[in-house]
Order: sequence, then C-alpha cells, then structure tokens
Amino acid sequence: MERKALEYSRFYESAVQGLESARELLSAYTGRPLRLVAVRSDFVELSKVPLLSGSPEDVVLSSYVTFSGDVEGQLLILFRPESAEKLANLMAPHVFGPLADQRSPALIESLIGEIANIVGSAVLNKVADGFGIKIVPVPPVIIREMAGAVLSSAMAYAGLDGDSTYVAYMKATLDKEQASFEIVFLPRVAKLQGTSHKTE
Amino acid sequence: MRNPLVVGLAEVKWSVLPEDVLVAFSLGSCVGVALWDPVLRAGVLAHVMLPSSSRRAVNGNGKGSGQAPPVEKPGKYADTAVEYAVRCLTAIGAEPSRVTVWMAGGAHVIPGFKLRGGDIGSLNIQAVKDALERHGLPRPREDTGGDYGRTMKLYVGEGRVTVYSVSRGEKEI
Repeated sequence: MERKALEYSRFYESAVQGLESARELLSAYTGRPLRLVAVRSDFVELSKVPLLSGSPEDVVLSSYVTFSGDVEGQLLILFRPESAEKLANLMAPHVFGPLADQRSPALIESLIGEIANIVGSAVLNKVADGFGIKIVPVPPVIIREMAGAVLSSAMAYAGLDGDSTYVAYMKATLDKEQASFEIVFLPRVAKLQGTSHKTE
Repeated sequence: MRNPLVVGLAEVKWSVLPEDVLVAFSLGSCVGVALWDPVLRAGVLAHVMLPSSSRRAVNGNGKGSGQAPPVEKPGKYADTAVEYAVRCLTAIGAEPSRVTVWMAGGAHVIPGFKLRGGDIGSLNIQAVKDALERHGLPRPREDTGGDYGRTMKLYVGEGRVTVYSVSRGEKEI
C-alpha cells in the first residue's frame, strides 16, 4: 500500500511538472501570466468526484481524453463558459471579434481544444517521461454539459475497480483570475500496478 | 417548505416526509430510479452507476477470484439498487404492485466512452428495466438516453418527478 501511495505521489508530481510546462507555453501564447492556484492529489470516494468542480449542475466546457498504453486513464480539462470565452479571446484576438455574433460556440470550442491539447500533451508526456512508460492518448473530445454529468460518466471505469479512486486535481488561473480552468487526472487504479517494474 | 435530500452517486435514500424532495444531481450515464407508494405517500430514489454487481472487481483490483464479497453500496449497481429500494419500501409496508416507478438518465455524455458490451448509459437503462421486471414492478415513466445530463427530483409529498437538463429545461415525467 505504501508503495502504491508512493507511485501515486510520483504520478502527481509528474503531472504538476507537465502543467508547469504548459503554464509557460500558455503564458507565452496569451501574453498573460498563468498561475497554479489549487493542486491536490488523493484517493477520493466516487460519490465525491462529481463535486470536484463545485456545483454538479454548473455547465462546463470539458476536454476529455482517454489514454492507454502502460497506464490507462482519463484526463479532463474543465472550463467555465465565461472563462472559455476569455481564454479564446486571449489566444486568438485577431479572429475573435468584439461582437457577440463573432464569438461562435464552434470557434470557442476549437480554441479551447487547442488549449486542452497543449495542457493534456504536456501533462501526459511528463508522466510518461517521468516513469519511462508509454502513454497513448486518443484525440480529445469537447463536451458542453453539467460538470457533474461529465465527471460521473467518466467515473464508470473507476466504479468497476472499487468505491474510491485516485484523483489529481489542479487549477490554473490566467489574467488576474478573470479566467481559469481545472485539470482532473484519473489514472485507473487497477491498471497502475503494471507500472511498478518500470519505476524501479 | 421543501427539504432537498441529495442522493449522491451510488446512494439510495427514502422518505415518508411530505416536505422532502429526493434529488439526484447531474445524472450522466448514471440512472436515477424512483419508486413511490401512493397509499403510504413514501418514496425512494436510487442513483445507479453501473449495470450489474456481477461485473465488479473482486478484492478491488480486478484480479481476485472466488466468492465476491457483499456489495457495500447497493445503490451502485442496477440489480442491487432496485432490490434495496424495494426492500426500503416494503419494510415500511409498501406494496410493490401499487408503486409508481420513474427512471431518468442513462445518457451517452462522453462520445466514444464504452464498457465492454456497449455504452454505459444504455447498459444501465436496460439493467434497471430488467431489475424492475424481476421484482414485479410496474413499467417506469422515463426520460432516458440521449447525450445530455439530467437532474432528477422526487417530490415525496406529491408523488411527482421532474427532470432538468441544460438544453431542455425542467419537465415533469
């Protein structure tokens, strides 16, 4: 059990290092400093996971990535709609006009997908490098839905393994906290043990 | 004065208090199942996460063998949740044949996300319906499937159920 906890804490450290890389890149893209404001890593009771992002009924734009390889799991990046719009504007002010009808949901989702790609790739690459393992992500999908519905649906795999799951949760804010996003990293508990021989 | 009681993931809650509203927030692939007895004016709501307790991992790591331990959270699986919900109501004198049944949820919120055997929402819906039939319960009124999340509320004093979704607002089923 101690060994497993140690491996999880190393996962978390690697994920945070990955987020640090993404932070630098996104700060350069947007011209604004990005800050990590909340990071935690723990085993969480399944019933608590839909509440990770606050009210489960709050609508979020979620980038959802599954990954396989030496470790299976999921990575979700959650954006409140108003934050998504601000971030999209900062990412591409030349295509993101000042008028409401120039802010199409499709354009916002496309730009959010780019941010999610940067963050997701950085986190997963750092974890893979840190452990010397192979992680194969599938291209992300963007979902606009209640946060609790997305998180509880993602929990189904974890539910097969037990009544709690490991969660690494991180939050990043940009531009004096006017825009933020959350990262929920869910490596699958039952599939993590296979990595131990590669972490010696 | 309403008194909301949140029924979290894998939980089952029941009430006989007319002011209570049993609420399952943000059902995605999960299914909410509500039973209500019109004579006792008692209701129960389960927040089902997975279709069958027989598919769960033994010893928590998926590699165990032998007899599975008792299910600690009966609300987690469709088969055990419906059984537990029926037990809750019959324990206080409800008659299964006269209860009203509702179900909501079972959506395919995350494109491409599946368990072996299909998408989890559809598997959950079918598993709940099978369990209801096994227990001789009436056919449910339902708002299930699709690709969107729902919040389900059972108003215990009135015996009515509403379903809310972001794209469709709130409606009674």
